[in-house]
Amino acid sequence: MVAETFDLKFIIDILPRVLKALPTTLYITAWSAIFGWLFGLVFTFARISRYKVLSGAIGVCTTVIRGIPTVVLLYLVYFGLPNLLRGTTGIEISQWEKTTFVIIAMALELAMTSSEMFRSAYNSLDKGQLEAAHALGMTRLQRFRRIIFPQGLYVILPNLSSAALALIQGTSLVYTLGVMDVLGRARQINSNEFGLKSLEAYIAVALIYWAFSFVITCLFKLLERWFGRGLKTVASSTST
Amino acid sequence: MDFKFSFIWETLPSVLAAVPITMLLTFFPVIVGAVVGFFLALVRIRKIPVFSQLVALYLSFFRSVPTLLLLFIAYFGIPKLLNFTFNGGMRVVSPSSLPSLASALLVLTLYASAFICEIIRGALSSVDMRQMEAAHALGMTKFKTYIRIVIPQAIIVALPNYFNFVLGMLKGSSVVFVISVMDMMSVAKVAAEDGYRFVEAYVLVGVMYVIFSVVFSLVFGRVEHWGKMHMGIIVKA
Repeated sequence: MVAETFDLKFIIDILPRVLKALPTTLYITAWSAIFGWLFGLVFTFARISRYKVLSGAIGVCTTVIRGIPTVVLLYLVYFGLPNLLRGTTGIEISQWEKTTFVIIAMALELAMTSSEMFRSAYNSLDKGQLEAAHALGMTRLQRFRRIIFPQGLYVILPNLSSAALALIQGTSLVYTLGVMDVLGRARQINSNEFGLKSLEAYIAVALIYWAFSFVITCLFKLLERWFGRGLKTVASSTST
Repeated sequence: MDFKFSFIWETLPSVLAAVPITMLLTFFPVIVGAVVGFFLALVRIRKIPVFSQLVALYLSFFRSVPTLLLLFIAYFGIPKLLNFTFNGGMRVVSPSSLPSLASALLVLTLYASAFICEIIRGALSSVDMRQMEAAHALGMTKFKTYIRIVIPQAIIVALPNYFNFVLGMLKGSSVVFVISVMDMMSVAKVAAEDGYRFVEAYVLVGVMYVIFSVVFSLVFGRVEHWGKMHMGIIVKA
């Protein structure tokens, strides 16, 4: 019988080494968030547009993408997209970085889920304001920038916060493709230790994710306070 | 591009055979989690000292750590815990000797409880407090007030979020492949790697998940509608 071990010191020792891979996780998270929310906005406008075919097509895509687990979507993009592009247009993209495929998949999922979110926020706005803005001679862009965006953003900030947390958690899947993110790095360190310290390595990664999520949550709380500064409601103080 | 439909037909039976595991991993956590989550929510609302803080810590951990990490920690941690507690620190139980399905169910239940706790807490706090006072004035006990006044209204508020979470769980349960629980995703992954046909296998399993999502969201929509009619929030046209 071998004695069971739990090496608390090992967790602290490897934290700095695992943290060196945090930029990869941050890189994937940040680009996915930027593209995801940008395209989410575009899809929202397509969804609420007058063109029935366009909004219908986006609606079907949303249902499909939202029904697929992140892992499956990730693998479909990673294995399927190069084949699809080669077959249809002859463009070769299989030499692209793995992280690029990851960002495409993550951004796609985020865009589809957030477009639903944006749409309900848009619907919650008082439409009389849009008419008033029109009457004042504002252009569509001005209307969006001055009326829709500031109010809509405040409404969906809590949702954006949980979407960001889900995105961060989703990025942990990329180790299965061999990307050296925080989890991939920890697994590598563990295999250097002959796989004897798996639990310790995973706890170290969990601590990093915990801290990372905590920072993001605080950031969104600050944003909420900043955007809610003109509003006289208690909504911001009741949400935790 | 070679896309072999025949591979999909060959893989379909084995993926279909794994549907019960996926359903178990989806519905067991959300059903048990609803009960556990309710009591955790009560602890948070009543602000019971010490317990409330512990629950807050538990919630923040399970809500911010990726599920697959939780699965790994349980997979390697539970045997160690058992060995230290019952076997005097000798390695008697190893990770591979425990059923990984049990670890997965445990982790997903704890995970679901954390999320459902927040859903229920939001729903319970949305109920107008003056109704509690009115019920008290009518001589109802606390227990009766909860059963007859607070919970029915809270259920209506919580249902959409709860059902959303169930749909999320259906998809989220797919990560159990990391500790080789043979759900739909795992079976497809094994088939993909065996036959070197990744696109076909993942298209198949993706379609399966979409079908289940659509069917469940239709059913859930009906249930929400009935619930609202029952409570008189919407009237039959």
